[in-house]
Amino acid sequence: MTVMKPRLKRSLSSLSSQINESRESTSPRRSDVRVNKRSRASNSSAALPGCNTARQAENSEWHQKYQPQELSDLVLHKRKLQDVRNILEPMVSGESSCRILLLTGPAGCAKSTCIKLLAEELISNRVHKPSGLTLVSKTSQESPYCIEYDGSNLPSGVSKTDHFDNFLTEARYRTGPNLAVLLAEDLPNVFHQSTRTQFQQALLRWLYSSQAQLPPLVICLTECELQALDSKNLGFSIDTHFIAETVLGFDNLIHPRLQRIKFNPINKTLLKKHLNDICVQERHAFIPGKWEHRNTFISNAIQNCGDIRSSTSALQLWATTTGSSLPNNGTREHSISYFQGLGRIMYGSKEICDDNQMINQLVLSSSANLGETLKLGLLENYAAYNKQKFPVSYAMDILDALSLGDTMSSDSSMQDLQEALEYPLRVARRKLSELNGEQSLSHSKPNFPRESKVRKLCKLFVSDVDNYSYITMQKYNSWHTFRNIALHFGFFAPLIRKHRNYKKKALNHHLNSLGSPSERCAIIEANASILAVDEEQDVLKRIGGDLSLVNATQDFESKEKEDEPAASNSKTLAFLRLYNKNSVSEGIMDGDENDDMSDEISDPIVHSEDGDDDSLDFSDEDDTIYDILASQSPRKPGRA
Amino acid sequence: MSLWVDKYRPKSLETLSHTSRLTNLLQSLAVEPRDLPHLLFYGPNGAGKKTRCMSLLQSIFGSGIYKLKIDVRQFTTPSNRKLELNVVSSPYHLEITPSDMGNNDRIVIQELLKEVAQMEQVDFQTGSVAESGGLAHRYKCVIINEADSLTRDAQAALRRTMEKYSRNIRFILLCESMSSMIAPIKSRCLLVRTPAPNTLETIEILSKVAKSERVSVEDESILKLISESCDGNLRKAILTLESMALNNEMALKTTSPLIRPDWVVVILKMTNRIVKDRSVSSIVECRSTLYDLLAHCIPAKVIIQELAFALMKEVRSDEHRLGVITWASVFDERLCLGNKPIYHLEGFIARVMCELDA
Amino acid sequence: MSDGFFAKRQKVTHAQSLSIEDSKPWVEKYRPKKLEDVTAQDHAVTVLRKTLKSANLPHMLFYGPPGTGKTSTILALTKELYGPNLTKSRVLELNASDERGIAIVRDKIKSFARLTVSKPSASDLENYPCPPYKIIILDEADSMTSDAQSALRRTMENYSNVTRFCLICNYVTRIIDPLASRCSKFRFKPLDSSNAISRLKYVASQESLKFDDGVLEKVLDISQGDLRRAIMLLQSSSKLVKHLDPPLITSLAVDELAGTVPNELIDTLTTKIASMDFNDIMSCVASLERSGWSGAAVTNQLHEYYINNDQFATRFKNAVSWIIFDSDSKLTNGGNEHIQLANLAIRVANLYRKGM
Repeated sequence: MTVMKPRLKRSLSSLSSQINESRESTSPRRSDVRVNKRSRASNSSAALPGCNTARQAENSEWHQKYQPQELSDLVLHKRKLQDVRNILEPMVSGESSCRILLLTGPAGCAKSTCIKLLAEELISNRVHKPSGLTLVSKTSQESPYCIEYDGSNLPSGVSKTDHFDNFLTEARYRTGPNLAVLLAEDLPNVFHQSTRTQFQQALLRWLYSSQAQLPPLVICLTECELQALDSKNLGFSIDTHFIAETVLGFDNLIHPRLQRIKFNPINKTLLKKHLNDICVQERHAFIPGKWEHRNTFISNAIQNCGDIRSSTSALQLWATTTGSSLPNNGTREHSISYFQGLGRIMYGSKEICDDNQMINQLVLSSSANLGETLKLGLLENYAAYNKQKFPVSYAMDILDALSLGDTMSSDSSMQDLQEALEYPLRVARRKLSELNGEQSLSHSKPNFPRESKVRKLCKLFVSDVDNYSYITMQKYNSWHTFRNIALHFGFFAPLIRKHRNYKKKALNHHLNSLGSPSERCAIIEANASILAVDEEQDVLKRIGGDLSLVNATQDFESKEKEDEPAASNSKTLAFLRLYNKNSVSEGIMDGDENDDMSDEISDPIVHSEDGDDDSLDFSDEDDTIYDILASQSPRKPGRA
Repeated sequence: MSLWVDKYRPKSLETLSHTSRLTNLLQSLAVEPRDLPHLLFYGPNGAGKKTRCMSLLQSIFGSGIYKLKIDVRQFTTPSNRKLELNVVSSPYHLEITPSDMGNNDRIVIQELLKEVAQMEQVDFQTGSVAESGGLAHRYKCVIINEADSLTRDAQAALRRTMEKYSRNIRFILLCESMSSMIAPIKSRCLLVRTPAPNTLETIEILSKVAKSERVSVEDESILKLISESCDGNLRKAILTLESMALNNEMALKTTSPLIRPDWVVVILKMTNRIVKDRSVSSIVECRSTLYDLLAHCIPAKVIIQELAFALMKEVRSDEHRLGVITWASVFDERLCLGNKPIYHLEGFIARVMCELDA
Repeated sequence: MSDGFFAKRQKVTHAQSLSIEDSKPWVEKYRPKKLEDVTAQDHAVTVLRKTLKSANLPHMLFYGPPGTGKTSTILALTKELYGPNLTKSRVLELNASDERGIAIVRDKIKSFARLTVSKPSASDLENYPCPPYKIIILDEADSMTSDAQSALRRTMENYSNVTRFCLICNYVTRIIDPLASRCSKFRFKPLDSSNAISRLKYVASQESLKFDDGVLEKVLDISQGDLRRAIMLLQSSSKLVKHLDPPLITSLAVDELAGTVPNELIDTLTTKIASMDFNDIMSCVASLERSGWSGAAVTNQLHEYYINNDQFATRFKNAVSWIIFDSDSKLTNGGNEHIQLANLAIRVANLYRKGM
């Protein structure tokens, strides 16, 4: 859980500390209850799988206490459970080619609980382990069927980056009679780049491992958006989006031996039922006067959040303390997602009828990061209102507000103004509510902003331009500024060269048919400029591709591919490529210069190769990983 | 062989075409290279600022100035981001386009120029001025392209560098708009206005190029068409000429279709759409086009300029024109102040639609 | 070694000595050497001369528009106080080109301020008053950050026995109050044209320049009372025409150098605007743009044309100045010159159309 969004975690722990605090301060009568409760809790925890000693002290918390112990108790949609079972079962029995099961979803939707319970059921059915024999489990609390990776428990002498690797290496023989499900819920510090690379490579090796039988590895990933330190950086990177794509890397995700199941926030009905059950069980713990209001509380609490853990904690806090306030909508600060926010601005909110209050709350709860995305999303989707059938003047007002808002937020030296977000949102809400669209109930799935797509295209364009510039420089000894290439040369130069290339082909044909060498020489001389075009080297396609349209997307996947570190080094790479080509063909570059250049290539490539050296002893007979790594990043000659 | 635009680029002061007044000025500057002040060339794109500045340097340093090579330099921002910048250089000069660096241009200016200045100082001490050939090694020239897009910060840093190292560095700044240059820089430079060639001059240059490339031109009217569509931008004109010549088997007829850059065509189409189909769905489709233009790194300011002037031509009534230009000026300013161009471009389109509806 | 080499060498050294003489900025060359030479700042000069006699100097704050002789005055004063030998050790001059963050105030200024004064030599004592304090000149003090200014306040108090400060700035409002209250303030008026012209004439005659009639007036007009700018302009235009035959400075050359638009072009534009034909106006603006004239310069000159012209009614002037203000601010924010200029022209034309 250490990788969970810091703020989330904080809110949860502050909740429990508040609970404890309030307990301390209440009357002695209640302390009996506490003792009573604690004993019950510890009783139950003994049977609780995956519950380690560290947690035991806090076990009086309801979300621990009522952790399901049977699959039937699990607050999870039956179909989802069946999905997981369908994949995990063949993995356990070794019939599946799948090696990693990835569960993603928001916090508190019972991902890991589900796995722990399933593992127990599936494995205990297969291997009948003598109950006394604890060959592998380190603590008595730990289930023998499920081994968790613990990133915080770092043995001395093991570097942080290797820790996960070691875990996998140690656990790879947990097959046959020792069979266990490996559960990685706690991840190494993936915010650190080289740790992340190591982590991703460890997984790759796992996927490519030649060992016939591997224990099933399950990764539970709590996806969330993070408050970026650099609010200007809106790219999808791990610093802003803690999601599978950024954490695991693209290569892992598309691997056929990895299966992914997405969990949704817990269904309201299920959640309500669960909370009600708890209420009934804990009736004695309720402060007088609270019991009567529990239904209001529950219906409020389930409204905005499908997080079973935090809603249970909230219920406990509310029920056992004297404060009378109902929880505000959402028990977490960050319950507003992109879709929710967008939906509320465009169609209003059902819970909060007053638009003013709704926007106040929205602005408060959105991070700077989400704010910008929200504005871009508004731009992308406002037109979907009423299926684009509304007067242009309304669109104009919204756009004007967005544009003004953007000018407010631009000053890089200043903190972003709250108003820069608030103003456009308010205007948009007011204008759209004036419209009073009839179809406001049935609205299509909103589009994602195209901004990052465009940025990616821009990057491609820039690297194309670099490529072009270096060729022009080397071959023609002329240099154009980026702006001129974007405006003029990017279109004209390839066009001209393409024409010349056609001519060259025709000319070559003609030359071949000619007999006398003198005639040929004359023609060659006269058409030097045409013959100089080289299909291999010259850029014959419009830089950045032909102009068309950049269309909006509804799916997140297509643009998730992280900007590879290599892409940011496009300049050096393109330059180097050309440099090498030239020095090979003409032999004019001397050695030291070449050396200098190769030193300039910065780390990512070197790193990946180092990583792959490490893997030598691990999977020496399996060459596939080399191919994969080699195709990832262009390799420098002489280094491999 | 390179493109005609490079092939027929004048390489020395004597061969410069159009605006002889300016050529005289540069020649008089070249007489006493020791006294060369910092220069600030300003004028529209494709008017020949760079060509003139290189010719001037050629007359001072000799043709070694055209022995270009290119380096990729790395800079690290305070926030630890790595930046890469292409630096084109010859033994006598150095050329940078720091506007590619966005807000980090100040660091580039400071780091790079400090380095150059100090390197030259070392040179000074090792060889006496006379022995190293006098003029050539007394100072190094630094050409800064697109100086008008430097941030205020960078310009202030530049001003300091200008004073501090004026012994060993001469700056030549190239810009299109003088308004965004800060006053201290303007007052430290000799301002050189570089006008674009007028239509007649353009035609003359084009026919000269056509003649040397053995392109048969049926009638001058096609050259006139090219030069008018390029609006004084010689670079664009020669590129157009070359692609049209190749397209028509080296024989230009009066009926040969004019080739315009694809993005200009796209903007013209969009203009048409804005005037004809004023609806929300039309705005949405324009957005896709705008995004693609931005993805091809067409600067937003160029887009709004092309769009505004195309609209001014397309729109008939004066009232509407007043509206178009007023809003163009508003959104043009917002483009400079904001950081996401798409809001402003789309906002402009919506405004214009409303203006036309009224 | 060959003769050729020596010949070359001689030529170079010869040229070098020449160039040093040549390239010295006239602004430095013709800076007033004595307090009496400072033109048109009678008030400040009289007061300062009194202090010269008593040799007791307060902290000073000079403010006024650029090019009115603030720096010249204080430099002349220090020369008269200390003479050429002592000036180096007694005077510290910092201007905006030096880094002047708070660190500099703490280190450089403080360490200079706390030095005890060196003993003047006997000959200096005979000729100059040589008062027992040092002077720190902070040119362009208004560009100092306010934390640097407040750091300065302590330094000023602590070392006032051995050090006097002279702050020079354009805008007195940008000096923080505690600093301003510690200084006696001297306001420098903009030069009136007769004074300035006579100074320019003096420079021109010293440099034996040839110029058209009205060129000096033009130079002064362009520099708007800023004598430094005027002299610099004169120097660079003389440099331009040096290799012409005859080396005659024309007002066209001056215009070109200063980047101002010739009046004929402005006249064409204003007539086009008055004719209210939008097509004509657009093509006129386009041709201005094409010739590379700076949008800011055109805006400035249009402003002069409309505001200083009595044929227009006040109401019209009001409206025009609002439009010009708008365009100027957009240009300063980095707006596109062509769009902004077209907007300016069309909107003014629209005023005509409305019958103002």
